[in-house]
Amino acid sequence: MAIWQQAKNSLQERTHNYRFKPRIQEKGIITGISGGVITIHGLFGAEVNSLLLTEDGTRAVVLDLTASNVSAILLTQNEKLVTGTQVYSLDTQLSVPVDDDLLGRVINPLGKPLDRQGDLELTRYHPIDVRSPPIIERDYVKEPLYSGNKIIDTMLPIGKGQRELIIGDNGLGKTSLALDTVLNQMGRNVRCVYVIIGQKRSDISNIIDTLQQYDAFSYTTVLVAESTEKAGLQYIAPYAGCTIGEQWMRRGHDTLIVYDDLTSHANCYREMSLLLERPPGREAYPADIFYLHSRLLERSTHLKAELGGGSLTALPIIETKEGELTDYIPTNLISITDGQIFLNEKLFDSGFLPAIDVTLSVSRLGGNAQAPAIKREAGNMKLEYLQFLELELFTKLGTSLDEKTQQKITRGKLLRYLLKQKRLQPLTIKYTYCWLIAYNERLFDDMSRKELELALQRLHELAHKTELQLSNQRQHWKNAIKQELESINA
Amino acid sequence: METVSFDLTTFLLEAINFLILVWLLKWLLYNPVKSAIQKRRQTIQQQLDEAEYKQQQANELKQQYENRLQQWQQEKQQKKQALEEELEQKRQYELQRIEREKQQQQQKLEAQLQKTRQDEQLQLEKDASELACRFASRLLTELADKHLENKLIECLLHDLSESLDKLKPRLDQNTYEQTIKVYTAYGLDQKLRQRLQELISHLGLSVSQMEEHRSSELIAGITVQMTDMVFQANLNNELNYFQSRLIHGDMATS
Repeated sequence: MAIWQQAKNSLQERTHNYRFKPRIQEKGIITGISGGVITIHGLFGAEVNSLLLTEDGTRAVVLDLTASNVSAILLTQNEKLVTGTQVYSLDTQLSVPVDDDLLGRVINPLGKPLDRQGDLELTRYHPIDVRSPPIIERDYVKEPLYSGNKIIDTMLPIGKGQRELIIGDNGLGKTSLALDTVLNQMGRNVRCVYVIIGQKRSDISNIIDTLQQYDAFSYTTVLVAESTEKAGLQYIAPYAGCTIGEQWMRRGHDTLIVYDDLTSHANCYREMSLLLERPPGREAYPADIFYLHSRLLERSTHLKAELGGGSLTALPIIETKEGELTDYIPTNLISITDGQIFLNEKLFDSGFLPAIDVTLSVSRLGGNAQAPAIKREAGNMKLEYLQFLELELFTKLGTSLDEKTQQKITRGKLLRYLLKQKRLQPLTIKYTYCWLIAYNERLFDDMSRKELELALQRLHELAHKTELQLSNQRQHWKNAIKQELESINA
Repeated sequence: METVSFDLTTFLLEAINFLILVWLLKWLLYNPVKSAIQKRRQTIQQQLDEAEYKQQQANELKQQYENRLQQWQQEKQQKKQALEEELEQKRQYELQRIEREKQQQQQKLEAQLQKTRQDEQLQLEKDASELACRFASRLLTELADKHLENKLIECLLHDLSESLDKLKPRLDQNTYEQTIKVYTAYGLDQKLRQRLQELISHLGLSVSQMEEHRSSELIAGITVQMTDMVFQANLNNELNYFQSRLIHGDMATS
């Protein structure tokens, strides 16, 4: 049946039973305003998460229902909002735009553009708080999502549809790691949504500038709820971003979403809950703080082919205090996600960048979402590296070591040097394969630092110009690599 | 002519000489020559034996190599067969994998196509609804008059009087807002005002707190605000309601 015929039939059905009758609408009165939360007397038929509109055009979302009052968080605010203002229910859930036109734009959680590039003509809207896809709609996570970071792509591989937490203290490079991952999606047909929650304007500006500088805006949408925004907007920001990503996923696209960061989100929710006089629990967080994040992150998945085969990969960021992983919010997020990338302050101070602590980081999907060629080469690398880290302790004790152990330590030091990477320089997977083969074939073993740098540069060039693919035989790669490195030794 | 005389002694001496010669020859010539010949014969025999032995060995080696070659041929054949089987298995596996991927891709494309069609359909419906509502709004704004308004007010009054019992307990008497506000586009008739006031009294509210206002936004019809409820029977509200139900009616299921 033609689309127009189906549309006509649908409209006819909806209008068939229409009859005029007087409508009854509930009205409430604002009895209190405090820190972005309004208390309303009336509106006894209001539902949680339903949208309210005041006389002066302010919008709010219902969060709390009691016997006599309704509490709502403000999304916008007119300066003239006072107690006694009338409030009406719009009989609709809070929705955000999910159009493709959002790509390349910076918006707030309500879809309003913030980048002064003109208004958006938005046609598609979707409620922000919906249930996560049921199990029957999900498929295995089996396709890799390359982050462009050597350590992650070899030892902590991420798959499309996975939730991988980035966790660490302030200033250790969590945002940089997330940005690297976003920049590496250039030309890979992956859409990105970068959600910024509760950050300073200067930080937000830096992120946007970086994305612009590296042409990432062609496939990225930035959703901003800065620290000076209403608590309500900060609260809904990750859900709004997730809704955009989820709808793109349902249309068959692979999408990456970064939540930067969920610590601010949790703090904002705590603030709102205390204002709503909800009973405080551990660390003054409300009892449903786990549900706040679990229902958000469960919406990231990989859908079955019958539903379009799209995926939503989530990179939530959490800030710790003094590297404490056992705090309330970090433990919650660790239990929800499919792995974590832990950034260590000591590694950062020692100059090992990115400061990923392999001993405490994990990807629970492991090699299931890794290209077979990479999996083969990097198979035991993590184990060897961990063994090296343990053995290195002995060198500090001054004990004499046998030759075999000494070799392991030398190889480990070489690997540690190879794993370092500069910021905002994501690397292709072909380059990763090149250096892995070279390392496993021991082609770097006898090289000096200078020669090693040159060798890596040559491998970089090889990765760009070669027509070999990961699926080609290893021998061909090995020959090409040896040929490229011969001239250094000669 | 001289006759040859036979001398026995000479004969015997000659014979002995001959025998001595023969003995000497035997000892000095015949035996060495014989031993030399014997040696040579032995050497030749030895060489012949060696040659035969080597020949035998060569034959054995040849046999061995021929056997080995045969074995290799067999092994080669077996390995070739095994390789062919393995290749065939891999080929089948790859074909199945490609077939599966192709099916998945097809399913993905079909699902995406269907989603696009659904989106287009929704968009069509939305555009059509907006146009229809805009048209209806313009038309009704032109045609609205007092008569239409009175009909709408009567509709509201009829509805309210039928549901008095349900409404009375529902109205929140404790609301801060005690004033009853009535908005119309063309103003209330005396008759309709009376009926409205009776209704308000039946609901247990005070008629003295009733305020009347004019609002052209309604187009035609009435809005009554009583405590925490608002009763709408006007074209503006009805058009907005109609439009929102048409456009957003199925938003939750998309």
